[in-house]
Amino acid sequence: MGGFQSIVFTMCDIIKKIMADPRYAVHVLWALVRGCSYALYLGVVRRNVRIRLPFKAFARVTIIGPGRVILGKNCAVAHSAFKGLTIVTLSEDATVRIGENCHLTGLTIYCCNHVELGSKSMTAVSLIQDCLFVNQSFVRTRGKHSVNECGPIAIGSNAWLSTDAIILSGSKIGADCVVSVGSVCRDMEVKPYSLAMGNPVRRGLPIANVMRMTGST
Amino acid sequence: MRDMFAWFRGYIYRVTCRLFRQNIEIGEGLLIYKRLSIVGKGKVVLGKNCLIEGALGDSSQFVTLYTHGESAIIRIGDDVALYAARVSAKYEIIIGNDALIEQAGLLDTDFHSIDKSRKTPEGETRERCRIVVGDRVCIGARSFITRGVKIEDDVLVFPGSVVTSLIKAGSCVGGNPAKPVAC
Repeated sequence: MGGFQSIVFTMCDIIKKIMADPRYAVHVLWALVRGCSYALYLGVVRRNVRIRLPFKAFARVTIIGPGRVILGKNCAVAHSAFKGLTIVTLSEDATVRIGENCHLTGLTIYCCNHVELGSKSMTAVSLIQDCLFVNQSFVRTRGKHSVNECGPIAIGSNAWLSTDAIILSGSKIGADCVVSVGSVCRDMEVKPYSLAMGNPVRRGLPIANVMRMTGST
Repeated sequence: MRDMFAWFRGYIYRVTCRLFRQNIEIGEGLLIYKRLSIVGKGKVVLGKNCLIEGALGDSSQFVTLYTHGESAIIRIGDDVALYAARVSAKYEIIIGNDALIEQAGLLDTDFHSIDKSRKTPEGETRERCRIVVGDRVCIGARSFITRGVKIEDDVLVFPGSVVTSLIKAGSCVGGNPAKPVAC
């Protein structure tokens, strides 16, 4: 029932936008065709990737690596000046799971363990990396710090990653969170409905308090 | 297959540099998986068995070694992996053996002074602006090394950090500005 309702809502939204600007129809159709062809190609040729339809791709989608990638229904990859969605899985037991109704803009994911994005989450041009160094085999062979840290990343539903945010290994971000511009989050648990900021992020500020302080309720 | 192609590409690059670009010295066994762009008249020295890599499927990720002016020097040791690194020198940048640099920027000048005129900054000398990176150093993605920084051996720089001061041997640093963190 919920799925049906959400589809009706999105249809209404699209129809409203088309009434406002008829060119949007062409864009959406093209994005749908492109997204579906990506999903078909990746689903048939590369069996480890599964993209649920409908999938709108306004920009380029690149999925590389032997690990498992699952995208939920009704995701959209929006326009960005620089890049589209890039997902790189570095090992065979890596899993990337992205929920329904996500808006992904210029997101880059490097995964060697487990990355989970909740439903309805929004991202700008940001980086999610669940190991410290991508070139893993290289790090393991050298130096004092021989172990490359890998921890799963979990991002709750309706979270918003802002531009240039970096999410590193072992971070858990609760539902309805906002990660602010240029902040780096590592080995942290951010509570639900809070604002994470700074490099490195120390603790999340509850958004209710922030709203009260700035006077915009 | 990809390794063979990378070896071949590295070999071609080495031979062409020896023939046409006298300011570049490249050691044996260079592997080029992604584009390597060396620009400028300064001296560039790459050691043996270096690796030039970048994320697959992203054409904006390639290695750049830029020298500004003839007196600039970039000196890179043996067995170094450059993973979409951006190195840009006006004076001198020295990288030790066995280092790993991932999508990070190293820049040893400010280019402009901070006052209104935006002229070339005064008081920048080769000794003050030199960047030295030691052996077995790993520098994470999207971090930046500013001028006059010395990083000693066995250091791990976390992704997204901005390094502005001397870092002692065997430590882990992260944040902006980079401070020692638990590893």
